[in-house]
Amino acid sequence: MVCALRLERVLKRYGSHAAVDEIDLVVEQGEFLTLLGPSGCGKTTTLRLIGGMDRPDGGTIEIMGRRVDRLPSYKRDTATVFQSGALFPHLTVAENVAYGLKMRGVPAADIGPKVKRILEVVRMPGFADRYPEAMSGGQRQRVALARAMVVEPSILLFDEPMSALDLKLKLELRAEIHRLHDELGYTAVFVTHDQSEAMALSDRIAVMNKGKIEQIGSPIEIFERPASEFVYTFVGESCSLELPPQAVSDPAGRLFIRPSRLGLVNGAGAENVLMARVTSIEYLGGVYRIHAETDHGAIFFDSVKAPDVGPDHAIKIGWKSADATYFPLP
Amino acid sequence: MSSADAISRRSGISGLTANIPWLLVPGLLFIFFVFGWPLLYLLRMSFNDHPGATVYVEAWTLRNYVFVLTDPGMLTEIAKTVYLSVVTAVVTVTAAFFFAQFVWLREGSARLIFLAIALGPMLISEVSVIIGWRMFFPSNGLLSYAMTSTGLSGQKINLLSTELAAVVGLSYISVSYCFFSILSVLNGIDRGLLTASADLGASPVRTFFTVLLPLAKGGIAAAFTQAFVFTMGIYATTNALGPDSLWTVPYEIQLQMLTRRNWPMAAALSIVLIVIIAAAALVTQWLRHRKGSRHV
Amino acid sequence: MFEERAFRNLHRAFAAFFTLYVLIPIGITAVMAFSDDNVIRFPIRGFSVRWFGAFLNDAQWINAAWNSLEIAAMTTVMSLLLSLPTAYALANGQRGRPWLQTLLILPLFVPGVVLGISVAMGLGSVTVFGSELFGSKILVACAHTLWALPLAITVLVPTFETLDKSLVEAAGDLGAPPLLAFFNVIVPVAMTGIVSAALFSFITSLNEFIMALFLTTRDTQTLPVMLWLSLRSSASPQIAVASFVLAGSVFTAVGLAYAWYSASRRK
Repeated sequence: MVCALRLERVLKRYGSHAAVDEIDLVVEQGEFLTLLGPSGCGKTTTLRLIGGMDRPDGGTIEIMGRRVDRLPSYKRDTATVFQSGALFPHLTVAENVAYGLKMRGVPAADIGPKVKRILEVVRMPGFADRYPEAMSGGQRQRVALARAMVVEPSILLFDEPMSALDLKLKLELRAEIHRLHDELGYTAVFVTHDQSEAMALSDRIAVMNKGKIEQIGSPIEIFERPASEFVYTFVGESCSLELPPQAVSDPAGRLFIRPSRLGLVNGAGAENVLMARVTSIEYLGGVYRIHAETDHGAIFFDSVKAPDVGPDHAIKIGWKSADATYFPLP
Repeated sequence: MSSADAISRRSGISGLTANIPWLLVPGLLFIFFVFGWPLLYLLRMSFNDHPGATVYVEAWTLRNYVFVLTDPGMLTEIAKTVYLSVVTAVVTVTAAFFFAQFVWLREGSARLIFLAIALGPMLISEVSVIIGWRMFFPSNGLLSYAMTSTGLSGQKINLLSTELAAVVGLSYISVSYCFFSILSVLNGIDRGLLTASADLGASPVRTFFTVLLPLAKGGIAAAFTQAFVFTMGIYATTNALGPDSLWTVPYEIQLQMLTRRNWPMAAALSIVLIVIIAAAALVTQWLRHRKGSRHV
Repeated sequence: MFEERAFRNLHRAFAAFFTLYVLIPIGITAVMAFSDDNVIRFPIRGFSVRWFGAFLNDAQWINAAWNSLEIAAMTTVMSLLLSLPTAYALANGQRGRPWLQTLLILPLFVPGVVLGISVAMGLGSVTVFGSELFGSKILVACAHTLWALPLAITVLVPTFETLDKSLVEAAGDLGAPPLLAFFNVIVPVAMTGIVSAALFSFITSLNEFIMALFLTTRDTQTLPVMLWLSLRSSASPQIAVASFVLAGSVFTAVGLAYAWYSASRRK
């Protein structure tokens, strides 16, 4: 089966700065892939290169086996859900959704039923004659989603579609996108800086940093087996300990561990034990977060039951070797 | 948002924006052919000779410029044009400022009505303005009738063909532009400052000179330049409302062009007029920036 | 506070005086156009519409009025055709933009008399397809566009700058080629700005008479040119009628644009 999207050594420069630095990426048909990273990492630029809103300075882009990197946006079989929604303010919801169909030469008689169906799919059937300004942000993004999906593109592109919504709407729309992907099985490339979005939605996540893909894998792989310090710190909470050359293995390095895998030890029950001094304790609702200082740096971890120690108390912290990852210093 | 994302948003090269430099071509071509080329032609014309019967004879002579810049009659005309423009600009900017300040302090529909009034002069053709004032100023006009019928004046009065009438007509032409430049600057000023100044015990006059005027300085300077530049180029109003002796440079240009059929002289006068206007604009621009930098 | 109240009253009196100043030329023309007298004078002895009748029956005035409308329409079309791409490019590009914008706006600050004679000298002798450019309506419209274009650009650049760029990208993304995206998305969204630009262009051309004076013949003369030329020779209220018609067409254009604007907002 031909893959939906293939990027090879794709490069985009702004002046001397490489916003996208020769990245390779393959997305299979029906796959939901997320580009995750901090702002400025090149994820949005990558999406724009795929959609044709920007032209690459090098490399090749193939969609369904066809090379498209020299094609303008309107000749590519992609459809984008924009951050702002980008609904045409002078058109009704139905006209907005019909626009892509019209441009693709779908016979007029087929447009009406298709629009009607897709509005039912995104659960907005009563909104056909409304104008965008008379709708909430969440409703607009549903229409934007319908407008992109109705043309049945080879790849659906999402440019941080939920970043302008408040938390409740965000979760609703996230569930909606998830449901639709399960039901319809479209191919999607989704850009976000929000890791919980990425975790919840994706088949695979590509973590980007400084124009490069640091790691690509399933959400579990990304979280459990981060390939670099950047991925470890960007995805999920983490503590790191500075290790001098002789401590664990020969070169100096950093040991990373999830706070959820750290615990207080009383006897010698853990594989690894480290002495620490409590600096502060916060109650976060349901759990207590304990901050402590060790000889190798500050750490924190959570405890469900109230800790029987206070600030300045000496404690012992333990963890399993398999839960920690060691990165030598470069 | 980092600079890379910001840049990518701004310079987004979608289908339309990829063609951007080309989109400038029609406008630039038009400006070149209808503005640039004729002005170059005018410049060339100003060095031609005008021996008599013919409109011009090709030559490279400075005679026209020497005449314009040394002949006492011409120099008087230049001085009068500048004088009239300065007077008009001062009167216009003052009127526009006080009316803009008045509108600035209004709200709601009153504000809209006054804005519409201020917009009025911009919509009226110069020739209609002339015709209007020519029915107002002469001895059988409205002013004279109003004065005699109310007993304010014992006899008919005629103010047509006076410098007063000329300035009234001239300032009518640029007053709207001045009003809107000043109002846009005033709109950027917090009205609470006036109340604050009054609270601190400053009299209205003091508040005006110490708070409002310094803040609105930029708009006033822009309005002054506008009024001056506009007035420098007008001759119809000056000629139709002012005294017959009030010959200005633009009037001389049309006289040379249409009546004397001396194209090189008309061209030389035009170049001199453009140079004076450009110099005035540059000087005020320079003064503004120099003052601005001293404050920063 | 006495002093403050005195100032407020002084300011009000000034505003009243300014309003009067603005309204005098307009009002006086409107009243005089309906005078029944044979000459312009006050007091007015009776009112009638006989000078309107005389205006409508005078072939030369009517011809001039049509010329004005034709030239203003041509100017509007040219100004829009040129300013739309130019303003769009200026709003989206950044290299050399202030410089280019200044260049394009420059003609607005050159006196009409200078533009008039330079176009007359530089282009007056040019013939296009066997017909002489001098005295043609198209040449007058070109000259008027020198003022209309900068005004239109000044209105349109901010309009395009505030336009959401992702709208255009969305249209392209959904399959619309650039030109179609422009007419489907940019034009409707920027319509208020485009109508204002058209209105400014139309009014500028309708009112302008110095450039037209140097570029027209008796046949292509515009209404304001004819008004100017008959200023001293005609003492009858007919000239007030013609001036009234000129101002009336401007106000009609403004009124229509305003009606369109409020209708499109109510939608």
